[in-house]
Parts: sequence; C-alpha cells; structure tokens
Amino acid sequence: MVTVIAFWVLAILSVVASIAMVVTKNPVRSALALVGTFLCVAALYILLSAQFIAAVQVIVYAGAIMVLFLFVIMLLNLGSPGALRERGSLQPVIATGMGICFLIALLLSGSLIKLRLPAGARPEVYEPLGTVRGIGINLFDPKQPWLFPFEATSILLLVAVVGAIIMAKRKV
Amino acid sequence: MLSTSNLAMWIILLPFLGFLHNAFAGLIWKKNAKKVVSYVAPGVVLLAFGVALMVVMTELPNAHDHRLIGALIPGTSAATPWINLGGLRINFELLVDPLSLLMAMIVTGVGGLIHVYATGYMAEDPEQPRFFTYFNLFITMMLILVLGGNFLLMFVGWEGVGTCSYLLISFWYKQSENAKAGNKAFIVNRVGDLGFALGMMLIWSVFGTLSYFNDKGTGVLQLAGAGHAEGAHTALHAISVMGTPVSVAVLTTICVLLFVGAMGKSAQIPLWVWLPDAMAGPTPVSALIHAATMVTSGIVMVTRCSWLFSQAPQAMQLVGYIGLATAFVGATIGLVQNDIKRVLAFSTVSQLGYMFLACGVGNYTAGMFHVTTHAIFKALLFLGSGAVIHSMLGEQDMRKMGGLRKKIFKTWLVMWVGTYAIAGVPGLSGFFSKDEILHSALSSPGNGMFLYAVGLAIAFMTAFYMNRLMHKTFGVTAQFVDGELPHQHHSNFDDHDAHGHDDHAHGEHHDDHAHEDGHGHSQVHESPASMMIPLYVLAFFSVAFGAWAKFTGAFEKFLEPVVPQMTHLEAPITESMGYIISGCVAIAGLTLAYILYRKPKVVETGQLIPAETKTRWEKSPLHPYTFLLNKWWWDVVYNGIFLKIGGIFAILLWKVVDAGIINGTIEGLGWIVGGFSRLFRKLQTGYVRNYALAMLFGVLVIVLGVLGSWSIAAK
Amino acid sequence: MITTSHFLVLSAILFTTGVVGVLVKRNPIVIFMCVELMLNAANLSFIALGRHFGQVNGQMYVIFALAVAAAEVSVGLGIIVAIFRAKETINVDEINLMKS
Repeated sequence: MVTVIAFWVLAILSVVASIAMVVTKNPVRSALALVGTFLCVAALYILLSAQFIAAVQVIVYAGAIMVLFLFVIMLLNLGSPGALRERGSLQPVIATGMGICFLIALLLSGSLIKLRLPAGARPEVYEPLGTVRGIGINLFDPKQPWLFPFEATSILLLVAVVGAIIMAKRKV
Repeated sequence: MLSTSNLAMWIILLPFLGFLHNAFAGLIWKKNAKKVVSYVAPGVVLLAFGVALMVVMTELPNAHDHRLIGALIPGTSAATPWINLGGLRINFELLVDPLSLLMAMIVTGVGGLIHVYATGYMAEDPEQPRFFTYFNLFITMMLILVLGGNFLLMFVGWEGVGTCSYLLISFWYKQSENAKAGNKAFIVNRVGDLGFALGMMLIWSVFGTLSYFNDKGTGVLQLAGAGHAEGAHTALHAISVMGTPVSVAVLTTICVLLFVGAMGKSAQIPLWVWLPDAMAGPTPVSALIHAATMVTSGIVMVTRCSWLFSQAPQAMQLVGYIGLATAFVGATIGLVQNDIKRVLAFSTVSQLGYMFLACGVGNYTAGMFHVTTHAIFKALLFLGSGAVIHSMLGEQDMRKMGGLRKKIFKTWLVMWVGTYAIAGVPGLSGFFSKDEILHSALSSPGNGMFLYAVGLAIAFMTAFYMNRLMHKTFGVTAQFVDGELPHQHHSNFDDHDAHGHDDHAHGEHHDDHAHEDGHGHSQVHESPASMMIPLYVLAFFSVAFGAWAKFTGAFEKFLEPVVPQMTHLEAPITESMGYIISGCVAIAGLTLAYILYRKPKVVETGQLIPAETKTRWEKSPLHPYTFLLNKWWWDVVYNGIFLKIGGIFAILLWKVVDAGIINGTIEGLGWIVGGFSRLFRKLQTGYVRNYALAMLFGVLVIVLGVLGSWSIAAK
Repeated sequence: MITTSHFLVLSAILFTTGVVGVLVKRNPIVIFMCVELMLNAANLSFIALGRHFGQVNGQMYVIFALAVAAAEVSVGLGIIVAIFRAKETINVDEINLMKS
C-alpha cells in the first residue's frame, strides 16, 4: 500500500516538475525543476529496488551535473528571463501536437508490449538486486560482458574531461 | 593455301606499315622525314606489287578452283572471326582469286608508279609526309576493298578509300574551294554508300551471310554461281537459299542497291557531280584515286557480284543504260572544258560509263579489261598533265598554254601515247578494250544497234576532245609570255605555305635553262626524272598491254573462272569488221580535231571559236555551248532541288522541331524542376530544431508503422 | 498494485516531455536539460524492465548511461561556452550555419 501511494505521489511530482522545466522561461528555474524530477526518479529507483543507482542518481545527476549546468548558466549570464526571448512561430505548437501523438503511440505500443510480457511480474523487493554488493559482483563478474565497457567508460570520461577543458579554455 | 593467304596478307600489310611509318615519320626522323618518306612510301607499294606478282606466279596456278580464302592474321587457317554478335558472324577473310589479284596488281602497280611520280611532284611541299600518309592509307584501303572476302570488308575498304579521297581532295585545305570540293565528294558518296549498305543488309537478310565464298558452299557468290550454272539464264530464280528460291524481284533490288553504291563511287549519273570537282586535289591524287583505282571500284564491285547481276537482267539493263548515258554526258561536256584536268576528269567519267556499259551487256571481262587499260593510260594522261602543270608553275587553264611541244618534248611524247591510247588508235591498249565493249554492246539482243551507235559517237567525241587538249596545250602558239609566268599561281598552287617550292625548285632550273637556251628567262622546263620515269613505264604499257592481252588471250583466260562468260550471240558484223569501224571512228575524231586546230588563225589565237562569239553564246543559257560548259546545268539543278528544298527542310527542323519542340520540352522540364526546387528550398531553414522536428516526425511514422505491423500480426 | 507497466508509462510521459522540450526551447542549455530528462526516462524503463525479469543487467546499462551522460554534459557545455565566445550568443535560432 505504501509503495502504491509512494509511486503515485512520486510519479505525479516528477511529471509536474518535468513539465515545469519545459514551460518556465528562466533557465535557472528549469534547472531546479529538473533537479526535482531527478530526485523523484531516484526515489522511484528505490521502489524498483535499485538502491545503488538511486544513490548515484542523486549524487551524479542532481548533484554534479546540475551544478555544472547552473555554473554555465551563471557564467554566461543567461539568468534573466528576457535574455532569450522566444519569438512566435508554429514550431512549439507543432512540436507539442506531435509530442502528444508520440506519447499516444508509445502508450499504445506499451499496452501491446504488455500483452507479450511474461505473466507474474514480481512486485516483491528482490533484496540483493540493486545493492552495492549485487551491482559490484555483477559488474566485475568475468562471465558477464561488463568488464570491458567499464574500462572503456573510464577512458571515455578521461577524454571528455580533456575535451571539456580544451573547449572551455580561452586560448589553446 | 596457308602460305598464299599469308602472302596475300602482306599485300595489304605492307602499305599499312608504310602508312604507320609515314604518319609518325616526323616524330622518328625529325628533319630527314621527307627524305625517308619519299623512299618508304613508294617502296612499300612497289614491294606489295612484287608480292602480288609472286602470288599470281607461284600460287594461283596450283590452287584448285582458282579461289583461295585467306585470313588476315598469319598462322591461322581460313578465316579469323571478326564480328560475332548473335546471328551475325563475319570473318576477317581475304578472297584471293584472279579478279582480286588483278585489281591488287593494278592498285599496287599503277599506284606504285604514281607514288614514285608523287615523290617528285610533292618534293617541295612542306606537308609531304602527310600526303604520303594518306596515299599509303588509300592503297591499304583499296586493297582491303578488292581483296576482302565478304561484303562488309569491301564496305570497310569502300569507306576507307572514300575518306582518303576526301582527305586528299582537300589536301591543300587552306583554300576553301578545295575543302568544299572534298566535302562535295564525300557527301555525294554518302548517297551511294547508303545504297551499298542497304544492299548489303538485304543480302544479309536473304542469304544469311555476307561472305562471298565459304567452306560449306553457302557463300553469296557460290549460291549465285551455282544458280547460274543450274539455271543458265532460263530459270531466273535459280538461286535457292536453304531450298527456298530467291525471287527475281529481290535479286533485282539487291543488284540495284549495290549499283547505287557503285554509282556514287564510280561517278555515274546521277551521282557523278563530285568527280570533276575532285580535281582540286594534287595531280597524283587525281591520277591514282580519281582515274586509275578508286573510281573503278564500282565496276569491280559489279564484276565481283556478276553472278548475282547475271540473274537480274533488269538490273543489268539499268547498269548498261546508266553507263551509256554517263559516257555520253561526260564526253559531250569534255568537248568544251578549258581546264586541262577537267577535260581528263570528264573523260574519266565517260570511260567509267563505258565500263558499266560493258557490265550491263554482260561482258564483265571486257569491263575489267577496260578498267585495266584505262588505269594505265589515264594515269599516264593525268601524270602527263601534272608534268605540264608542274612545268607551267601551276597553270591549269589550257587557254593560257600552247606551244609547249618544243619546251617539254618528252612530256609531249608520252602524252601523245596516252591520247592515242584513250582515243582508240588501232594497236594501242585503249583500242582493244574499247572495241571489245562496243562489240559486245552490238551483240546484245534487242537494242544492240542503238548501244553501238551511241558508243561509237562517244568514241568519236573522245578522240576529238583529247586531240583538242593536245593541240591547245602543245600545238598552238604559246598563249603566255615565257618568263612571266605568275609567281603566285592560280588554283592549288598558290597556297604559299605549301608552294613556296616552285620558287626554289624552279629558280635552280631557271638558271640552267637561261644558260642553255640563251634567250631570255625561260621558266618552262622538263620535269625531274622521278616524274618522267613512271611516265615512260606507263607509256610502254599503254602501247603494249592491250595487244599482248588480246592476242595471247591471257586476260580472258585469267578472269575466266570468276566471271560469267558472255553467251556468244551473233553480232551483225564480225570482230575484224568492228576493229575497222572503231579504228576509223577514232582516227576520224583525231583528224577532225587536227584539221580544225591546224587552221592558221586557230594556231595563232589558240581558240577554235573566237572569244567574242563565245561570250555571245554564253548569254543564252540554252545554247549548246553554254549548256555543255556548265555541265548540262547539272550542278545548278542539284543546287536548286537538294540545297534549296533541303535547306528549307533543315530550317523547318531547326526552327520548329529543334528550337520549338525539343528545346521547349527540355526547358519546360527544367523550369518545372526549378519551381519545385524553389518550393522545397523553403523547407531547408538551417535551424537544427526544425530538422529535429522532422526527425521526430520520422520516428513517429516508424513507430506507427511498427504498431500497425504488430496489430496485424496480433490478429 | 503497481505493475511494470506503470513505470513504463511514466517513463514514456517523461520521455515525451523531454522530446517536446528539445523541440520547443531555444536556449541550448535548457535543450541539454531536456536531453538529460530523456536519458532519465530511458533509465527508468531499463530499471523497471530489469526488475521485471529479476535481473541486474538493466541497472548495468543505467550505470553506463550515467557515465556517458556525464561525459556528454561536460563536453556539450564546453561547446556551448566556446560558441558563446565566438558568437556572443547561444540562441539556436541565430545559429544556422547549415543554411547555405
């Protein structure tokens, strides 16, 4: 029962926050709304017994990445609402219409997929699934294919760090 | 057999190698090119003559059936495949039989002499290697024409000699008249070539092959020959292909179409207009191509197909009458021309008509006999006239000559031999060959008397105009002041680029002459030895060949296996009677000219009819003199019909069809495409978000498509 | 009773919001945020389906997606800063180099 209530509250909160992010004109507010969405999603991860991911979501997304966003917004001084005035055109209308169509299509496909899902979804929390221990064992299991992507990701991050520095530097 | 085909191959290959050498001579020999070329070019042709002679001497008597089919690629037996497309199989094959060897000997023999002559004639021309390149290529093509073993190879040669003729007529292309004359020859020949091509296609569709002979005995001429032997004039549809008789109408069509080709190449009515203009080329070209060899290829072709023609009597009649008409028209026009080379050109037209007359009445051997003798004496006459022109520093108008006998005595002598030979003075070659034709014309059933009478009239005219030419050139008082010949001469020779040579060459001679003669500046002089020796050789054969061939019967025996023999019909007069009559006619023609041009007044002015009278005559377009001088108004009529009407049609095509319909369509299409582009260009805003929207649309379509397929699968 | 489908539907809604945001917004930083939202929506469906099958592999994907997202954000923001320096603007409607 608690999970049901938690789900509905979190789901509604996350959707409202995400819509607010799109609708508001001030990028700082957008960023804060997005942080809210991320936090809700992190809570939903806990409902899905992905505790480690939830923690990472809070630390990396809601923490580091969003701080980065805010830094850039402040750096470029785009905080004032009038800085980027949106001129009237058909694009938002068409985009919204098309987005709704897309959503309907996704939902339709979701309902169709549901028909194909194996019966007996497991609502009960499967303890070791999302813990640090479970993730760690799985990640470094030589029988699983994750080891190489893990190492590759570290190189990716290194490259990204170097790239970001070079991009942002005033003169190379 | 193999060795023969290999030898025969060398007849063609030698001039071809010469052609290649001359084409690149400038590259190889640099400054010595002209000297080397002047040895190589005649050398290869004379060598080819030697090879042809060798084939005749050693191989031909041993060959069974007098027919050898050879391959062009050494070491392969029989024929080398050349074109192999579906049902169309054509071999690169040579046919070595008496007819082709005879022609090969004429082409290489007379051609070789003309090459030697040309080394002298063209010695100072800066473009002499180009000249000999074309000349050797011409010999190559002509040999392919006569030696080729099927109609397509003959066509290759046919077109090749046409091209060379074009190139050589307009050799001094810097003068536009020469280029135009070349164009005229080429374009008129197109008409004839179309006829030949159509005839060839019809042969293909009827006989299923283009080879004259093949191993299976189904070659075109084999079938025709077999049909001839079987039917022997009685059953006219005796040719059968795969057991099905070929109708006379089809055979007649084939023959007429082939004859249209012959008309073009051999300058017969109505396609003869190009030949007189073709005299714009250098004189050796006129001698080789437009007198001795190429123009006779029509006769060669008709003779080659004689087995076909003998089955189509109507086509033969057409050949005969066209030949007669051409002979008559050519002879009449020749009476009044003033340009020395033009007189000879019309005489060539006329003699070609004679040859076709012979073919038309069925005496192909006589036709080929006249081809041979004519090649010899007409080459002699042309080369002689070339020597005269050379001596006169390029002057071609007979009215400005006269009195050359003393100055260029040797040339005069050989020219006389040629004149007597063509006029048909008894004992010389022309007499025998012409008499043979006249005699067979007389014995042709039905209209024999008519043909004979017109033929005699033509012979009379021939004798007259040739003697006129001789008198005007050599006999009468000089119509020019020696030493004052123009430096910039008229006609072909004034291209100073090409003909600074006369100044040099004649400058040297000029001093000699002044010394010897001791009176004033004499520029008129005898030609160099390289030009005179071929003249002597040709003169010798002009005298001797006819009698030798006639009295030993060698010629007839030689050609016997390849042409249908004339069925001996009774002529109203005996052969010796015919000799006497035609001899008398020839002498009468010569005598008349002699009498007229010996009148003191004529000798003095060089004109038989005073110039004022002529001017008066020329005012009325239908006066016989004007009529003949203007070639029966033939060119004018052609210009009126083909150029005017054709021009109107061309303008119609240009303005309406091309500019209106075709251009309109194309431009309209372009305009429509442009309109769409202008429309679609608006979509390309350059804003990434617009593209992203389009991408979303695409994703939507894909998702919906997948959904649709799922829902169908779910049902 | 909350089923996997509930999570999937939520994920779809969030994803669509992100898509619409990308198309509507003109501030590239906000567009970036929308992309992050879309990534999160995808992560959510990964985890939901992973749990549905009782597997941890769904979460593995999410870990890598997180790492890639972090890299992407750092480079992307670097690019935005560079563009701003060059053009004195980051309005995507004023940056249309693709139009010749």
